Amino acid sequence: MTWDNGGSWPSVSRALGNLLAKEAAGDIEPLHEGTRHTLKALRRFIEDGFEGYPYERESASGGLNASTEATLLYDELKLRVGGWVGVRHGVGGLLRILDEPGGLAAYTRRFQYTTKDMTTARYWMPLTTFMAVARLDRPISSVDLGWMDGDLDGPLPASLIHFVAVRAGAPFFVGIDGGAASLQAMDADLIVGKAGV
Amino acid sequence: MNIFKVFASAKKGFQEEYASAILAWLLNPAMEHGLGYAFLAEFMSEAGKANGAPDEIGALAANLRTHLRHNSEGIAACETFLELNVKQAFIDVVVNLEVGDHRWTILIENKIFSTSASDPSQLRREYIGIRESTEARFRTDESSWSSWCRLSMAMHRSVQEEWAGLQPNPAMARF
Repeated sequence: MTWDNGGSWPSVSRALGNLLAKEAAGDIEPLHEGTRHTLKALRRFIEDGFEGYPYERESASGGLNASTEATLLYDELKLRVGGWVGVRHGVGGLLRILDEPGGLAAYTRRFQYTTKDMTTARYWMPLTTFMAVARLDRPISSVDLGWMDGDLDGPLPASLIHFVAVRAGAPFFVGIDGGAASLQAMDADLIVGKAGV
Repeated sequence: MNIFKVFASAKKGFQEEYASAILAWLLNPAMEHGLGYAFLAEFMSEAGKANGAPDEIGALAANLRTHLRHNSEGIAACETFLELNVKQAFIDVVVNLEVGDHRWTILIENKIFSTSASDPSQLRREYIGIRESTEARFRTDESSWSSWCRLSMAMHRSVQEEWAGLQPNPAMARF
């Protein structure tokens, strides 16, 4: 199944719609007023891609944040001083890009950029953070990993933790549910298979 | 007012775990939403439309209803688990269903973003885990497992397509 109305796929959204239609027609027992409202809100929320209110304006402007001033290549970003960069899924998403063929420098890859303050915006990071992460693109002996404390949004897959570890000379810590005992109980396949999200 | 969009407007946005909790809440007929089996039946009915879904799902959905007098053989029993911890895996939502002679355990691996599914071994581990779990209360013996256990996935469409070819187990591939 899918969440949104998925064409040929069964979907949760369609199940909600069918339920509401049957209730409206009296084909099933009446729903509580509050529950009916909740189901309608949930269905709309699903169809809008689980996004909050600020993101409605994004979709109305071609998927860009309303504050975006330019979409820049990595090489163009390097010429900027200050500002904010939008990357889907934040720092975790940026690390994934580093791990992909072509990495940041792929000529088709552009990033949203603005000089406005994006402190409260999801998936936006200061240009300095972006560049600090980008330095992991090549093996170096010492990398400042301070940005990980404040900007890493959610867990990383084991493959990306390895990616950081082999490039960063400075020590860093990895949090694991259940601590060291939990890690020791995992076999190699399980660790490698950790998706992180 | 859409309270879901209000919460999703926060800095961290809407997390996959929230969607799992909402789904488990709706699927549980005993929760205070007052839906009873209405959403569960609709969910099962919709799931039964998938290519390869067992025919029995439609019949199961049709028989999910509450009874004022408990003297019917067709009384439905249901229990749900949110983020069930089984060996080597967490399963987002598990629903145990029993209607008459029909007994099902439904596993739901929830994804709300296409980038979330980067672990093709996840379904296999969950399937193996639930087989060894005591929470799968309707298990009888090894040979009958595939007759009542199916795996359902409520997830992002692109992920669904990506995983459509994944057949770690014949019982999983059918749904």
